Amino acid sequence: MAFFLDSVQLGLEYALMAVGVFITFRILNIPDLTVDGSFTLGIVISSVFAVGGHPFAGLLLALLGGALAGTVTGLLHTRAHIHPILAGILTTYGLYTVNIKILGGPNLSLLNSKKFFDVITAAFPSMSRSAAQAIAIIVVCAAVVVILNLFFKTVAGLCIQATGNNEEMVRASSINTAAVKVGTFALANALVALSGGLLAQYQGFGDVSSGSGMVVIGLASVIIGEVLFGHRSILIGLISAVCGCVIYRIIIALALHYNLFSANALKLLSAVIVAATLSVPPLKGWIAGRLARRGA
Amino acid sequence: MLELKGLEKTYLKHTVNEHRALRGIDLQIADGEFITVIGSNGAGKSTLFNAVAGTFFCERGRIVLDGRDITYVREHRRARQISRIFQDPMKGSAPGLTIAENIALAYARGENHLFSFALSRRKLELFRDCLAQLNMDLENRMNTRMGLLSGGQRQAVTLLMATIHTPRLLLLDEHTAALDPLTAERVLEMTRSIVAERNITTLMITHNINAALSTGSRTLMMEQGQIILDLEGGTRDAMSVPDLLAVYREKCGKALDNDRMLLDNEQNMDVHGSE
Repeated sequence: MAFFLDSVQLGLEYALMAVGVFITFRILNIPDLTVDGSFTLGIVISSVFAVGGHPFAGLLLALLGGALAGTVTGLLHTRAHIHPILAGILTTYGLYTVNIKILGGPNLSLLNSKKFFDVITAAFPSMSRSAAQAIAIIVVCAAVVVILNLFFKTVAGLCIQATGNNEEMVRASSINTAAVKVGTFALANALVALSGGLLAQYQGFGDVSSGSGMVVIGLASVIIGEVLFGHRSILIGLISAVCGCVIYRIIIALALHYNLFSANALKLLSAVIVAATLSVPPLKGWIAGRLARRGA
Repeated sequence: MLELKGLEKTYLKHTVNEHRALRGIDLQIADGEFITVIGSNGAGKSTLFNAVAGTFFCERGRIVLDGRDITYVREHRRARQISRIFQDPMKGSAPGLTIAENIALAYARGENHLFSFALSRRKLELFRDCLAQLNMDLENRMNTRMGLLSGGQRQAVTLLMATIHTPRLLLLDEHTAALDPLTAERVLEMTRSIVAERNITTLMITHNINAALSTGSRTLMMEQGQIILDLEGGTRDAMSVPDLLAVYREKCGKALDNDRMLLDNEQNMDVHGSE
């Protein structure tokens, strides 16, 4: 049971990253590979500020840093007309140098520094540290989902949805779709970096390589969520990204617990999950076509 | 008032495939004029609309709307004043969003309240009233996804979206061509009544010569990137479809080669014959 709760908490720590991936991949309809870089950027900013005694400022600046990274990718895509996938790769590649520079080395320990969830233990001294940690992450995730759901009901949120759906029509409604895309990349990567910032303070260290392959984990989470909840509304989508991320962690934890495969196989497994699920619709079409041909 | 002065546009310049799509278009359109545009395939009708809407900038010439030079104003900026409907009913709306959400986007045009709720109760009531005027029972299906509507319904909603704030200029690019004849006639009738009611300056491309002569107050004929005929008033009233085809043959030395144009006239005769 303990390991189950641990993986739920770990899942929630990554959940905002999955929500960021959901926003670009499913709502804006453009896959964004900046995630690997902006997640690490969040980790290093949050770590450095936590060590300096400002855990909250660390989270806030992680958020802004992520938004900046997303803006760079967005501008590369919309202004320089670079393919969005390549734009994301370029930003991530460049961020590697930036991240090492900010962190001052490949990793940094936060063992004796203040963390943001210490506020709760300070307010309720009787509460255990792990309970405080769990409550803090639940509150953050819930708040982000509620705020995003409200945002997507505004005109600006509607513009993002429509741009992912029929860009030409949005432009005809006198809306600058380039600005919409840049803004969406910024929003998504702000969430991704915030998730990295939270994770760094939870695990008590910052490492410049913890972001690698993050986009695949995000996609896997989004897809698992969709398999379970379907795509119905923005709210369901946001919640299913969070749940998908938690379930992803539970699956991994279970598999490791029962020694189904070694920890080294995780990345291959994640890649296979994403590739297999994304190929379901064309596979269905192919099978339907075969059956129709046989019937004729 | 829209003024076009010497507009020129060449595709694939300096290549063997160079194509001069617009060769010096001069046009003055008074407020409230409803102009129909006809011409064969590749005559430059849609290119002219693209130029006015700002899809691209022209190499030469000026575009002046209400005394303001908009030659180099970008497309989404021009869209505040210029509405446009395409032939493809799929182009004018977002299929994954609901009817209400699509209208909300169009309604947001020119409003600068990015963070106001897109579907407030006040707006929903307004949208419901507008939809009710279409007489398609769409006001009770506002939460239906746009992609589930028929082409005619989509085009009717697109027309509503294009005119929910009265535009300074309305561009209709064969907006009824993809619809079946009866629905096309219905959408065209809707267009006529909205344009007349609000006195919207309108340009309409059509391949239906009958509709071109019977709709609006002025007809332009285009050929090879130029306006070769500008009909209005008594001359236009006296002109019949065969007359117009004869004029075309005389001006261009060939028959009007728009196959859809001819097919559609036959269809129209069928429709009118059966009525």
